[in-house]
Amino acid sequence: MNTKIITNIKKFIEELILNYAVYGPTKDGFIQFEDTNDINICSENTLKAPKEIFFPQTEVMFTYQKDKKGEAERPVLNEKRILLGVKPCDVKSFLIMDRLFDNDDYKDPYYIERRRSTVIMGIACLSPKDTCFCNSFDISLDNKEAVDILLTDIGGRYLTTGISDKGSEIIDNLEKASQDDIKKAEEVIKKAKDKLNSKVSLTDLSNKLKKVFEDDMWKRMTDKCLGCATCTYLCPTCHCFDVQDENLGKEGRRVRLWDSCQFPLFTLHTSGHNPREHKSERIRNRVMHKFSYFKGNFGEIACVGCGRCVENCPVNFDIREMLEMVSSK
Amino acid sequence: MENIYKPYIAEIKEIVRETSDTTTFKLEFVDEEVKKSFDFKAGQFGEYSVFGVGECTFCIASSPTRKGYIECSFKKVGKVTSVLYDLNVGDKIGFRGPYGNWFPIDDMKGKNLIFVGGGIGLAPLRSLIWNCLDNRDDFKDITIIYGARSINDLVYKNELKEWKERKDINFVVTVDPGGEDKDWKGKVGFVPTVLEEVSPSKKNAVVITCGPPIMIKFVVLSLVKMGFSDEQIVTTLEMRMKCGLGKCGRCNIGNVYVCKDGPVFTYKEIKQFPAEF
Repeated sequence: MNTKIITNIKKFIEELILNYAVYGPTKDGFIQFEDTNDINICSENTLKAPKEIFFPQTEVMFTYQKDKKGEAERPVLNEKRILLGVKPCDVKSFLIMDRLFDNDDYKDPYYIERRRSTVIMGIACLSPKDTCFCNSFDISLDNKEAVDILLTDIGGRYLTTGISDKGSEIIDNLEKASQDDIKKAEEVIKKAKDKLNSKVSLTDLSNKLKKVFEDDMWKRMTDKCLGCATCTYLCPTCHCFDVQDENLGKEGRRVRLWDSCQFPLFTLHTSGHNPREHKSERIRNRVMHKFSYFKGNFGEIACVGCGRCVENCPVNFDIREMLEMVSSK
Repeated sequence: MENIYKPYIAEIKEIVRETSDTTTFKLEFVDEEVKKSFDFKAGQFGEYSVFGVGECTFCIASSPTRKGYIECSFKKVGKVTSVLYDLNVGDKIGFRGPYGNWFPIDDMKGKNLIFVGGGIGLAPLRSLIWNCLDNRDDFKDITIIYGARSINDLVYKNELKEWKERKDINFVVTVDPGGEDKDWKGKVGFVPTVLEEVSPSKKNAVVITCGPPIMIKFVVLSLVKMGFSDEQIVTTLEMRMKCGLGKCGRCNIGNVYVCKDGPVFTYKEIKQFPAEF
């Protein structure tokens, strides 16, 4: 393995900006680092997940001219991207989204185009919070799957491992890491692992969920929900969307926008009928989708235990409690 | 990479006003290549769009045996259908599709077919009915039972006349009590009641039904009472949809996505669904 050391991360990123569109973490979410002042490596989980780099909140699918009915053109993405500082849980979310948007039956042109033109520079997670439950999903804090480069912060210096050929090429000119640096990285990872203590069990959860579909726990446990949908907007794997036309004079664009299964209008028929009229049904759908339906359809649970929904829910709804409740049934 | 959300452009060639709020468009794709190669199966649907207003979902109402064009029928109820409704011959609209599964027409060959439709729910059945009529020898007896709230709510009136006159179809038309006038020669009664009255044999038969949810519910109850098995009953479901491709998250019933895994299901399949539709 190609292991190097970055002594000055700012300078390293400045050089990357010359050749790539570089996106990196801030407290609120991932932004493009346009110049030196933007550069920042947020060590905690970002508020918004990096899914928006591949699946933006607003995606222009094509533009049209209202008076020339039928002429529709699609904007072309023309940049080489580096997505920097992605935590293992969020990297795992990309693999889950890949199953949805890039499979034999369906190829999402916008998602795939961005995903394939992006180098992913992951970062080992050294600061799991008490809302994190990634250990329930066996996500390793120094995950090397699906990243091109892995960074590990060893006190202001970064141990940098080239995983893919693409990644190794980018860090080729860096100084080689010493055995001491490598050892230090192992130590910080071990220390971080000790902080994780989620006991959420996923054993047979998918089947158990099917059996509790009619259970009154859904009503009981979801009573306090405000229906604000923060959980779905911050979730790295939620992917419900809407399609709308936006007009500006004679010009217009058809856009794909994030939507949420937590809104009653989401499933409302024009006739007035609504198959998921109550919030208990909507929350049930969200939980069932992540832990049962998605697993049945795509072979994997659509949650990575990042804890964003737990940490940011205004009424402290905790999906872990719900899962424990199902497990105990 | 192909932009799968970019619609084909289709020109409105003919407009038939079916009722006071329901209309049928005959559409031809502008691109000659698309016009030639476009193919679908009875039961599939599409996303129809007006640029600047948005997309809406309904079935292709014409038969795949009639090449070079498609037809669709819709009710003026929502944002997009209200604008669509006011378009004229020569106007262009967008179309994405065909999406979803289809009626199992190959399995229907050599069988007696019973179509039970209500209101605009005749639209998807019409696609299959003409598909079967254009290959009449492949099927045994064909019974069509069709009803609407009133005479004015009956759609495809010219075709109803044609079906009535054909010797190779047993065609029964009905309107709900109070929906008739003094010249009405059809039946008066709700569709499930008339179905029981006509009482088609379950032997070697398939029933294909579509209409308002409440009608489907009672038609199924009648059929079960008449001894039809769950596999013999086929219907097509409606859900709010946006993408048509199983991604946008709206139309699922459990892990089944109506847009991708449906909209056509047997009653046997529907019975397995969780109660959420």
